[in-house]
Amino acid sequence: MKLSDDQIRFIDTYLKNSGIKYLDVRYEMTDHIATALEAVDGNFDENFRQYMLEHKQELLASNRQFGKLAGKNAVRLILRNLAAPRFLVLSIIFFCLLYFLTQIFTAEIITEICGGTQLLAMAAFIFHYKYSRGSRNMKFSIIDKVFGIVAVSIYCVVLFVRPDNWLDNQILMVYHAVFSAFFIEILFTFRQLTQKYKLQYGS
Amino acid sequence: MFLYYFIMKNSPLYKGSLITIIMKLLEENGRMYGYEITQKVKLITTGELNITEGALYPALHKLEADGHLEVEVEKVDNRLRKYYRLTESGRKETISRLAELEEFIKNMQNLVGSTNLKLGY
Repeated sequence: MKLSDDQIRFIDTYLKNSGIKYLDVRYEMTDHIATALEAVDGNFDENFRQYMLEHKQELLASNRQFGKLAGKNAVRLILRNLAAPRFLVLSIIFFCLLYFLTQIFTAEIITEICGGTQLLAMAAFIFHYKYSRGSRNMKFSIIDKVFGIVAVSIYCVVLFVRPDNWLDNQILMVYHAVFSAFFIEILFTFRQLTQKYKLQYGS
Repeated sequence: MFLYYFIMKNSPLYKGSLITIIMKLLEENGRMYGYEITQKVKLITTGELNITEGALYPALHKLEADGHLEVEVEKVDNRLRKYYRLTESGRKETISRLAELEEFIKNMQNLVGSTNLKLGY
């Protein structure tokens, strides 16, 4: 017996409320449960309740494993992109640009401009990411993990390391160049992942 | 860890074989989705082996992350379905894993056979 749209939505909502927050894993689990329920006769509510009694723990265990794996994949992807020549080229371009600007402005002004620009860029990035998830807060695993890792890393650097306070001006230029290149690289990573998810799941 | 959820008869003997089973099935069937794999295993083994969700999906996701599987998502009826298919590296890995398994079975048969002879069975 084929399940109705409402019944599929019910399964999805149940999984979401059980803590399965990523769409990519939820789609797969919803299909698995729906296919299993379609294979048995009888009342949907009763069959669903019975299925969950027997399988919920396994589904949650699978979800936990999926979360860990997504975290590892996110780290691997970030590192792979940072190891690519593009990151080095971007860092050099930014450094040359900043070095050129030091011939016109003082290092303090440049540091302030860099700090302000980076702050604005990060705020725009966070706003864009939150906005792109929509009102239903749709999250895909690896993209969300990349966001989390980057947010925590930048937060730690800005709040605890505070390079502006103790690095001399030359090294500070290198720091800002690398930081800007890192930020651009993260944008590339996001674009790469967004395209992958769009290709797999549609818009 | 996930092998804990791999409920089957005499499970310690099957330790480590889950991935080989999945890859072999995908090699034979082209592309498959999760539920289909569990049912196929049940059918082939006439219900002796039962791969649970808690074992199957982490294994599939790991194989995908390692580049051994590629994914196709299709709308089937009123929901999305994720199909898995072996990549080129997955095909090579399957061949190597099957050869390893065959070697293991052969050695075990030799060992068990020679023990039986010594014990006079």
